[in-house]
Amino acid sequence: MESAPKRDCYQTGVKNIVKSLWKMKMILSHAFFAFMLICMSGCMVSGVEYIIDEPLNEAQIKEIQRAETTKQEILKWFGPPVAIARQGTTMKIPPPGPTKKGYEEVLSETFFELFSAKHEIIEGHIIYYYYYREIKGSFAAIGLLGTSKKRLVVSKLWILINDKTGIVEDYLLRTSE
Amino acid sequence: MKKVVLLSMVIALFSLLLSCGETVRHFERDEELDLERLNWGKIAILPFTGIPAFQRVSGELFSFHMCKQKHFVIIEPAIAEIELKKRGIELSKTQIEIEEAQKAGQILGVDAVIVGSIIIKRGEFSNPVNLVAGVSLINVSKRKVVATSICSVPIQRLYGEHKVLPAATEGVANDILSILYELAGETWNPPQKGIVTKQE
Repeated sequence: MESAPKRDCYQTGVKNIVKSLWKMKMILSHAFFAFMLICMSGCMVSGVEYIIDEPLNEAQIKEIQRAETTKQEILKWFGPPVAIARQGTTMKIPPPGPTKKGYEEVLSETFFELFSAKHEIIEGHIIYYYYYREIKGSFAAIGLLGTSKKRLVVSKLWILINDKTGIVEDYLLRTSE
Repeated sequence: MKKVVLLSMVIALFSLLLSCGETVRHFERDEELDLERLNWGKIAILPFTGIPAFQRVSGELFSFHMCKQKHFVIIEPAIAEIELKKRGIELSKTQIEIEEAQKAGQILGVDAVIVGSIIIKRGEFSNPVNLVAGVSLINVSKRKVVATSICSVPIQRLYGEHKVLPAATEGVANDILSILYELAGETWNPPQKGIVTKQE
């Protein structure tokens, strides 16, 4: 006669276990659904490599031939320079990035000094100055929480041109991290 | 729920309006201009005025386009500035008046001069900031503006002014080139795509 309550107790226990397992399954499926929703909505990003500004086209730099390449070719390949240095003048260099306004005043002579050891600087010389900023990195984030690793690579290109002949005489590339 | 969908659609449309804008070009030429009588050989491009950081670069880009034609000798802004400085003349940095342009043209010994400017214009609601390039072709002997071209390009917030500079200068250059080609008895066919582009 004592077996009936025991069975009841056993059945209730099994039921409770099944119930809790079911609950756990529901919680897990809800959590999975929420996770998928976050991923799909763009709140979660991971392992993305991102770049700010256009990277320097190194293959194009190799195309520059001293005493051969023309100013026209430089403009065609690299687009407008950030600044143009002309002897006895002050350059107005816009700060890197679209959000910053105004300009920085830099004496053109500071750029000519880069070439003065190898070249006799004459009146018709100009320098095209290009600036490239590249930020490479990866990050993982869910909502507002996240972690990231990044490194800033800055490349500066100076091209010495004889404006009277329109020919490139020399160029200098410096890259720093 | 419907309200939320409607609201999100309004926000999307609003942000789309804010980010969009179109390039506007305005070209005007002297109606009484008799191209056959003009026998030009040399044209000088004077240094551009306007935003200090873009004066030189825009002048250089503009002359890059002008040098594509081979009918006229082009004196580039840098050379013009050097030659004028030698004669003790310094051009205005804000706006070059027609009398000043004529005087510069006479000193440089050219038939026509091109004066240009590059400015930022804050416009209407849907198109908040534009980079505006403007050039005028001046007949030196008659002290008359032969043609004027203005090209306004919206500045995309993510890229800044420097990225739209080629489009603005190319726009005005194409208009002036059309006149120069007409003078030479030819037709100018502007390229379909921008010429000053970064190569991939």
